[in-house]
Amino acid sequence: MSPRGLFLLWAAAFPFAWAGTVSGAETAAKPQLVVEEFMGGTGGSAAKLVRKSLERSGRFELSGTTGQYLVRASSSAGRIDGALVDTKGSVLFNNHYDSSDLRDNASAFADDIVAAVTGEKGMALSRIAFVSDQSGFKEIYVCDPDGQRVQQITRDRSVSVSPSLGPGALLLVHTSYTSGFPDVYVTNLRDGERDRIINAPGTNSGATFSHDGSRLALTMTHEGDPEIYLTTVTGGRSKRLTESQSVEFSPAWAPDGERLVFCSDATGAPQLYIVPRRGGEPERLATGVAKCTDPDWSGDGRLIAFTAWKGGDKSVAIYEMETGRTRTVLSGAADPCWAPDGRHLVAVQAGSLVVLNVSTGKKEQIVTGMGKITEPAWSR
Amino acid sequence: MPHVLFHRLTTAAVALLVSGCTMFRGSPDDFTDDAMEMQPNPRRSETPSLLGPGSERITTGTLPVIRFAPESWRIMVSEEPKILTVAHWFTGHPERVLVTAGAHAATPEYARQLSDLRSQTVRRALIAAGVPASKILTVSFGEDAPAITQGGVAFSVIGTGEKP
Repeated sequence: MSPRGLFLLWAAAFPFAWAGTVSGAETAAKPQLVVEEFMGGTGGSAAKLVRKSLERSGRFELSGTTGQYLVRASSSAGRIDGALVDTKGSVLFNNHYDSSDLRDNASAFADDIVAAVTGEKGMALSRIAFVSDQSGFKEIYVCDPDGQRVQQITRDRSVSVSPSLGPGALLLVHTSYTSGFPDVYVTNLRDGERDRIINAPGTNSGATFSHDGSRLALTMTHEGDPEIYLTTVTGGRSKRLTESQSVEFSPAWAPDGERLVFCSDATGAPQLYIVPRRGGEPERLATGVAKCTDPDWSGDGRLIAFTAWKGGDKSVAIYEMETGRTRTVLSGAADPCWAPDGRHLVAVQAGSLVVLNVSTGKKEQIVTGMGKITEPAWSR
Repeated sequence: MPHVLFHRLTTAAVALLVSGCTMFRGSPDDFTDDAMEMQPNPRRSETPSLLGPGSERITTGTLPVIRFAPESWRIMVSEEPKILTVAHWFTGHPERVLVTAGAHAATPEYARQLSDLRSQTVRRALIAAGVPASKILTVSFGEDAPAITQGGVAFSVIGTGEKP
């Protein structure tokens, strides 16, 4: 019998025996979850991974006995049959996760729980790309949101920089000097196939995926000064978006793909500007910060994270689109990038990769001791 | 029954084709609403560079380095005589020169683009001083520039490949 069949049999045999332990009162606080022990040979490991992912999401109170939702599952040979049940005994979902990797299955299950309870995206199954020089060369690495499973992607022994990950971390785009010049490459992370998509004269760099993964924005210089261009992941054609005699760089997409935020030093120190995807006059964001770099637009469109510079000091700040207010969220850090859940940021602080829950202020160091780490990019 | 099977197989094949396309190839240019406004990207002709193939043909250190103020791409008055020195060098040499730019800036990406603007500015200055544009190649590294740039713009002579 398949694992799914076993689960359904098990579920039928123990119909909501836990119901008496669940609190029916929903509070304004975080939803309460009860994560039962998972049955099956890999149940213990699976439960631990799911519980950690749910904790890291920062969205739930994990309770041992009482809660508004029950997480129930079995796991064997790394596969998971997982269900989420509410206080009325209704099964919100009952899914089978059959990736070859237990960790991936646990992450997918945790993200489904987040989506079912909050209606929003989770981040457990996402990945983070970054640059490290620990090999003596700048190469691209990818890791999980908790810093586990660090994987070296490029082995060019050249200069590989400026990574961006598409939705689901299936595609990586980055700049490499393998040819001797800065060209843009797209790599399929499933099979490692890599294509050089842009080798225009000059510098081609800073490519970043739109939230839906269909487009790229980057800086190219083949027409003179560094300008922002739009292209697709095939890279054959592009559309110029800016025109000035200054440096335009670090574009990032609004979640609806209709606008972009980027940096320009047109007035001196770099500032943030917003421009419509279809073209138009860029509009400067009144951040109140003298020097701003590394903007990234949150998945809900409400916030733009960026690095705020004051003298030699740097910090991660957030600009609120609705109010026009800017607030510092992490001192001594730079290079912020939003998680797909729009609640967490990855940044570089004191040479380490840190993840910040913007809602709670809780910070976690996830990668350290890998030489100089720069340019983190969370999958869309 | 056979036609149902055929329909399912056809549907599965189309689904596989579509998912395969969108997974790696993304939306082809023709499928985007920007397509009409997009222009073909030019391609660089492959030439020797310090980090790439042909680096053995490159000689460094024979010409002066142009320095810049921090996070600036404008040529300082103090550096203008060096531009003239380099321009004068071309009169007696048939070789091409690789203009290699570096920069230290707030972020690695800003440094890459700032160094590109530095190399372009120097290129324009050399052309204005009478150097043929075809003699000047540029490459910009930002903070990853070889030490010869000293954070500014260095000149490397590209040998013709002919044995002396």
